[in-house]
Amino acid sequence: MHAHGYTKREIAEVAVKNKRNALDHPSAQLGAEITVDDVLNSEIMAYPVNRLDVSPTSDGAGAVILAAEHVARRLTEKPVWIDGVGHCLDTAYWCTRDLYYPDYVEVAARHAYEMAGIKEPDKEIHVAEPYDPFTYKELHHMEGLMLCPRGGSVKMLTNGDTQRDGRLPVSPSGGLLGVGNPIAAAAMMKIIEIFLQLREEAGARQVPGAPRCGVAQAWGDLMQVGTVVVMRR
Amino acid sequence: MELIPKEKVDGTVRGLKRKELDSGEVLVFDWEPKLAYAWDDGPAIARYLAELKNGRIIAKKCNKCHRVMIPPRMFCELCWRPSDDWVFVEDTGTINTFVISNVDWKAGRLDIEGGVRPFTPAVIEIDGASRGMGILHLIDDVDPQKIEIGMRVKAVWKPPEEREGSITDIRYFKPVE
Ligand SMILES: [Zn+2]
Repeated sequence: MHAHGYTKREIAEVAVKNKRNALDHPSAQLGAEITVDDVLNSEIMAYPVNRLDVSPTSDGAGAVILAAEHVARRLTEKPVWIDGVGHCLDTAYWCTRDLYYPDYVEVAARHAYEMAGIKEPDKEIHVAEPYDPFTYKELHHMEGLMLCPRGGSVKMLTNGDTQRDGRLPVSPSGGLLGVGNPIAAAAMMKIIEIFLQLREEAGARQVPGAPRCGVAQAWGDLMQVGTVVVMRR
Repeated sequence: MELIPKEKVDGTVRGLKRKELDSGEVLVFDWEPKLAYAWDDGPAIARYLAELKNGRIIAKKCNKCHRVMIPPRMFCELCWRPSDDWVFVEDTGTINTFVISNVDWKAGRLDIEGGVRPFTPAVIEIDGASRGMGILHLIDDVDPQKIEIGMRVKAVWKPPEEREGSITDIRYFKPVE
């Protein structure tokens, strides 16, 4: 808000989008049809963060099966490949670093993109699941993942670009805000969503256009850890 | 070896009944854990806390990147080398970020309607330390709605006889002109 003049009203649209997307997720805890005013009128937890800007406390689990290439080809006709992985830890002294821009997510993303041969993430990635435990973190992470320029995430959101049928769907699963935030399993939920989207098996959540490349990202610890996974079909 | 009887796995697992607990049919025991622990501050934080007791804030410098780091640390995590000189910094600073919290540190709701002042923690960049170097502390003596990013603040210390070598030796920071 301070760096780019984003308003609470704009940021609240992340909650509206993700909770609506979650209505189509069979495991969702907080799928709902809400409005921006519902978010702004929800209880203030710690200004500028209201109740509906925050993901719930959740329990849950997720799993994927990893297999060597020749095994995967034997097991399924539609394997999804992990083409790039990146991890980065910033300093644990969290009062000592930029509290807006997640440099560590950008470093992790650069590693993953290099491994996957991605040069223009905003064009080559067709569906994204950035970590969204809070509304504004989805925006921070879209910028860290270089899906838009710094300061460009709100424009992308308010344009409708990140809707399930938008130019670059973001959190079509419903995200942590809608599906839930089972800590340590939450990012696996995002990886599973990209898997289903790439196989075109996401049912009512399916993004159009037969996506071929997706990215999932996790954030955590002392708010300084970024993990990025690029997947392709 | 079968750890769980098969019929349990097949769906006969159910909640226990009070009667089964009371009758001793189910083994129950009380255990009071003794979880005593000690915290080693390490040389950098120990000196930092000892200086707070003296009413001073101390930082540590890295002679490679020339950062003055607070809280002080024995290594520079950017240069990956031991840090160098101890330097005293000011007890004034600038608010980098803050929240007006209606919940306490245990996530319990504060009685805001009943007149309780919200918690207003802030990251405060300390004068004399490098730009962007902050500590987390409380802001007080100001209407929460008037707090702003970039606001200048100064430490309000406990009187010397009440200090105990803790970050709470500074009660809070308050705005200064
Ligand atoms: Zn250094």
